[in-house]
Amino acid sequence: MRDESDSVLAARASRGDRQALEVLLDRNVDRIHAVCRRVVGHPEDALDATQEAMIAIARGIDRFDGRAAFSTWCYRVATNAALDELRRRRRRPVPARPDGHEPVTPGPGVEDRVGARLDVDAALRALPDDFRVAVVLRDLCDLDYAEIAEVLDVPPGTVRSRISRGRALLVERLDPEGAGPPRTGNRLPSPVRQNDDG
Amino acid sequence: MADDRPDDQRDERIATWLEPEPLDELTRRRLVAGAMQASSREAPSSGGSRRAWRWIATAAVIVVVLVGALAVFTAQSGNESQLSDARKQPGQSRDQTQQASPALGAASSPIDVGGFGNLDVPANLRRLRTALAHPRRAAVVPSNGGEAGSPSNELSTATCRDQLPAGTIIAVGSGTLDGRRALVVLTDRGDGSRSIDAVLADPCEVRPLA
Repeated sequence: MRDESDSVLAARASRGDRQALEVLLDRNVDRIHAVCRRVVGHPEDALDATQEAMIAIARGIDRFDGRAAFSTWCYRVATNAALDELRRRRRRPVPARPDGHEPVTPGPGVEDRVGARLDVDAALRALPDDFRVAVVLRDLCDLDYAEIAEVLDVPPGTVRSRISRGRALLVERLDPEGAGPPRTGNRLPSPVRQNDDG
Repeated sequence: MADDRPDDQRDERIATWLEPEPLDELTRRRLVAGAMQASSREAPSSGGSRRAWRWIATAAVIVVVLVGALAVFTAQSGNESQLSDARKQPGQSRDQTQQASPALGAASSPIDVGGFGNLDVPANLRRLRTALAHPRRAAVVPSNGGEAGSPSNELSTATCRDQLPAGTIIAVGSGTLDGRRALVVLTDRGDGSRSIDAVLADPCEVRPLA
């Protein structure tokens, strides 16, 4: 079952195959979390959004019609869950904790990693939601413009504009001198485009 | 700068910045298990609820069909019993039948099988005889509710109606004979025989047709 494509697993899951659903969720949890983490901006809230998105996917798998790639559908659900979480967070009182602060274990270079993470979170937070989501879907999730347009339900021209302006704002904050990536040492395997047949 | 490359290309530098910390295995399992549990809690209830609604809808359709069938059956058996009651009263006069209790109402009145035009035309007369032979099938619903102007009323005012054979009037049709208004009456004589007679107007006259 592990070798089967997302679309095959989704079809089985929609017919009530719980094992297929579990494999599907396990396979896509990283990409869902990646979107939520970067759109929401806060690690714990991102986990809440990730959980909500995964529940929505598990409950709504029978509504996945297979017209788009399963990953695209996942991104749409994750984006909506992340934006919902953002709206909830904005209605809540301002938390006492510093934004973006994650529990970390001591180790070599930890300050650099945390600092870089805080820089990225702060820079993303400064972007309007629409720009942030578009940049995340393009540069983190590697969706093309048409897919992003489908996920966000906006015209491709709007997607292009949001990405262009979002990138410019992000670079302006993270690399104003154009000197390369700031203090970030956390190159990680991309969570996207794995085991997806779409 | 990001603007140095074409807009529709992925910006690898930004991709590097955006890559989040990976989930640890425990958190991944917790997220997957949470979604599985939440969906399993909902699945039986929503599936069960859908099934329940399907059953309720099916049961409702069955009840409606049964009630409809029962109503039709009751109406038909009511008509049959009233008709047979009327037939089981030998010697009872037409007036008694027509002045039966209000409970019998219209059902005790002769059945109006409608007008058949010029009864001197054999085809029309044949049609009228056929209608009288199966009066319930040929019954017409009077637009005025069966009151004034109906053949039954017209018959009750005919001065020569006492010349009709004794028995129970089952059905009445209408037309013209010899250019005169005619009511054609089917009478059950009570001895198993029936007669068909025409009650002509101006002057009032009863003429046996069978």
